[in-house]
Amino acid sequence: MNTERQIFRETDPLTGDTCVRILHESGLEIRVLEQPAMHTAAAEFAVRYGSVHTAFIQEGKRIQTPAGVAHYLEHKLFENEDNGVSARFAAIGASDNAYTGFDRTVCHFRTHRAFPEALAVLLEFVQHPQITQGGVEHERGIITQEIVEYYDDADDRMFFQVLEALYHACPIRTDVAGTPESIAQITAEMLLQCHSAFYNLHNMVLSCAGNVTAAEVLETADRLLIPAPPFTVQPALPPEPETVFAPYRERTMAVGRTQFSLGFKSAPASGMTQMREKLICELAADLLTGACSPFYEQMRQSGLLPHPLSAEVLCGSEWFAVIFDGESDEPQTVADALCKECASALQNGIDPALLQDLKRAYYRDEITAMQSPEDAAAALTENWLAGCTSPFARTALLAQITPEEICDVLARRFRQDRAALSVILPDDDTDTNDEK
Amino acid sequence: MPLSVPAHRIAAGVTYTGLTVPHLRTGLLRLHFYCPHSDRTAGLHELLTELIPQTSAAYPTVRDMTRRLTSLYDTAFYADIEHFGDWDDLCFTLSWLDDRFTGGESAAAQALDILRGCILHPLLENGAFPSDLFEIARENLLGDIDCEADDRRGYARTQADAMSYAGQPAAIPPLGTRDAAAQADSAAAYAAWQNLLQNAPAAVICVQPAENPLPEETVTAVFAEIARTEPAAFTVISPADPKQHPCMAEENVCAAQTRLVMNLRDTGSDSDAAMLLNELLGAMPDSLLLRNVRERYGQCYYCETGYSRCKQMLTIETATADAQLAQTRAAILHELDVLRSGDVSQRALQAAKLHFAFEAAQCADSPEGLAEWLSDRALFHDERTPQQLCADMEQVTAERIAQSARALVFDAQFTLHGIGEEAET
Repeated sequence: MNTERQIFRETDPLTGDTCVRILHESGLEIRVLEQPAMHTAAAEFAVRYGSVHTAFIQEGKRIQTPAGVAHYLEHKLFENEDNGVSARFAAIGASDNAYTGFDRTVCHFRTHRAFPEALAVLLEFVQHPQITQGGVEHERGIITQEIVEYYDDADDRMFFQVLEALYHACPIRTDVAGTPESIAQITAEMLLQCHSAFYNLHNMVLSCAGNVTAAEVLETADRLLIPAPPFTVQPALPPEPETVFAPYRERTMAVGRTQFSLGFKSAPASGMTQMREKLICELAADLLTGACSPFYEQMRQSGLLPHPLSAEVLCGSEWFAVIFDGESDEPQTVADALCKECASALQNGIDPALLQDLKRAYYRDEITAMQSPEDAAAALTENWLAGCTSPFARTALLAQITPEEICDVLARRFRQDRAALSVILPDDDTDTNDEK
Repeated sequence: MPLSVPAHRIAAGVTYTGLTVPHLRTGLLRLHFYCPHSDRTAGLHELLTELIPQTSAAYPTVRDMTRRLTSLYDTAFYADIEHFGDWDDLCFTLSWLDDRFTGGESAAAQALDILRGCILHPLLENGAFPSDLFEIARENLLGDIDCEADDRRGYARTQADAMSYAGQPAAIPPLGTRDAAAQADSAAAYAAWQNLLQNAPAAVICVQPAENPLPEETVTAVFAEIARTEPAAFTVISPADPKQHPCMAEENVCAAQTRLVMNLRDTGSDSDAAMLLNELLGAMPDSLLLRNVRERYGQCYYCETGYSRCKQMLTIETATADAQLAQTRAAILHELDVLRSGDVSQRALQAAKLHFAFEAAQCADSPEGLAEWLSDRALFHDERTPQQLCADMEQVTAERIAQSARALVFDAQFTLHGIGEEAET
């Protein structure tokens, strides 16, 4: 069911940025950040369909697909009858690319000229897949090489190893691109079925930023968007217990230094709650282990951590985890110290002055998040995926966060009994480096 | 794009280039010191990238310094080294939030004061960096050297370069050798710092949202306190020595995939055509290598090129299954042969020119892009604005591309054979 067009304008009082948000009659939400001083513009056409959506209910029927379908589909969208989609972008001076995440697929371009023409290419190829079985067979070798490339990447192995340890069944424990075995089962028919199910304009967003106007975007959108039927597909993710699957996992690789990830699993959240809890977790992680923390100073002085831990908050409809990455010869000692630091913060409270300084640092991030067209388009998409109507909401949320809320989140989302440690150990014996 | 702004001298061997771009939200100041790459100094300079920005006499611990920068709206102050052929560019970057977002507080003034303190008054103990800080930095450097091979792609590139530039400074690993790093001491690191301050050619680039004389005044005052010598003129352009036969080497590693790097020496003199050839062959999203080697033959996931203006060398990189290596290599070389034969479509050539123009336009949208454009312009003595450069690129013909392709001579090849991955335990 398609409604009448609605247009909302919102100006960020801090930066003067104005975002035009259009609920288009085709079902698509369009977000445009007009930046006339820029020399380039960027656009993202994103769908709420990613690697976790391997099972779904459509018209009452449960459909199960192999791991890696969303990513495979992203690749095959770029196939067309003549020279390929990239050639069409290149011919008008635009640079295209795409990526697939756990909960999204994003096709995008950047350009310094001919924005409407490039936007037309984007809207056309994403809405009109030209997928053949021959093309699918051909792509298998390329995607297999892409999957295999990540097998040699210690950071990537460590990341998925910690997710495998944290989660029992949630599909985020599987590589976004799947495995050579899972993608061997993928067919053209399967890709088209998934495209038809998920690439529904009600389930998508178009984010544009840079030296482009909402009027220009609408002119192309009005011409090319095909009104979509109501989106009725229900993702069917498997039930996930609250506990971790395994508290510890390790593997050896030909790496120079021991690397580790420490993950804390907690209950998923949605919408503005998710955005708020994510922001609080980021602040909490910085307070606990960031470069300004007593913890890092102590770890550095004792030679346990050469660099501050990096922290990431990974969240989606069915998962929420805080993951710390670092390098140390004694990962278990660092992990134990971090849990102890967390307990100490809960008992003694957090340093309000440090929180205030970190809020100023995060404020800068918000101000500069939309400084370039590419970053701005990505931020608009991220915001839509979080279910937030205002693209400037995080700045207001940041100002409201209190030390008490930080402690509340520490208690709920940094629990030692919900933690898992993933370690990559160097194995000198296996790094043959034989010169022939 | 207002990129024709001239550099001017502020001290012996030091130039300053300032640019005001009102739509920016942050200011950026980069202080570049240029020095020849050598095994003795590579590690010492790497140590300086950690020792100088992390502390100062005013902020004597890493925590003090980080806390101060964080409280200044996350002012960034860091150093890194970029390699330009046989030369190192040790660059200090200071980036601050513009005053219009800080409620009147001048982050710029305070940030520049921190920069001044770190450069002129580093934390010292008996005339050298404090031993505890130094030891941590050296351990980190040794760890980084031990980890160089973790990045298979980067390692393969370094090995190919070592063959191509044998006998030249660029053959020395970017971080120097482990032996040199192990022998480094705090006094030598401080002496290397003093040598840079007093003798290295330097360039300051500042890009900010509003006219503000403070950055130039601050760095001018900094250099006024240093007894500078006038450095000799230098060039980063030093092509690889010709070889009688291409160098070939290979190694095995426990990895799932095989990496291949091929270096081709550019014996021609048409650098604009060579740069455009690079775009066309393997540096743009619709390059010949991606379109044919990857998409048509399905040989690999990535296959791309880079062109070093300093060494006049085209590098081709790919990764594939070991069993497919010979086929992939043949497919890559076939694309080069096509270019040499002059079979370049106008459509592909135009796409390469447009991609080049896009990259030139994009640099004007961020302070980092602008600063990089200005520093490269000075380093390569290429005074053309982005518009002039793009106009010159428009003049490159298919025949010039073919000539440029014919001027490429196979120089070195390194293969890192993946012989299987480790198992999880």
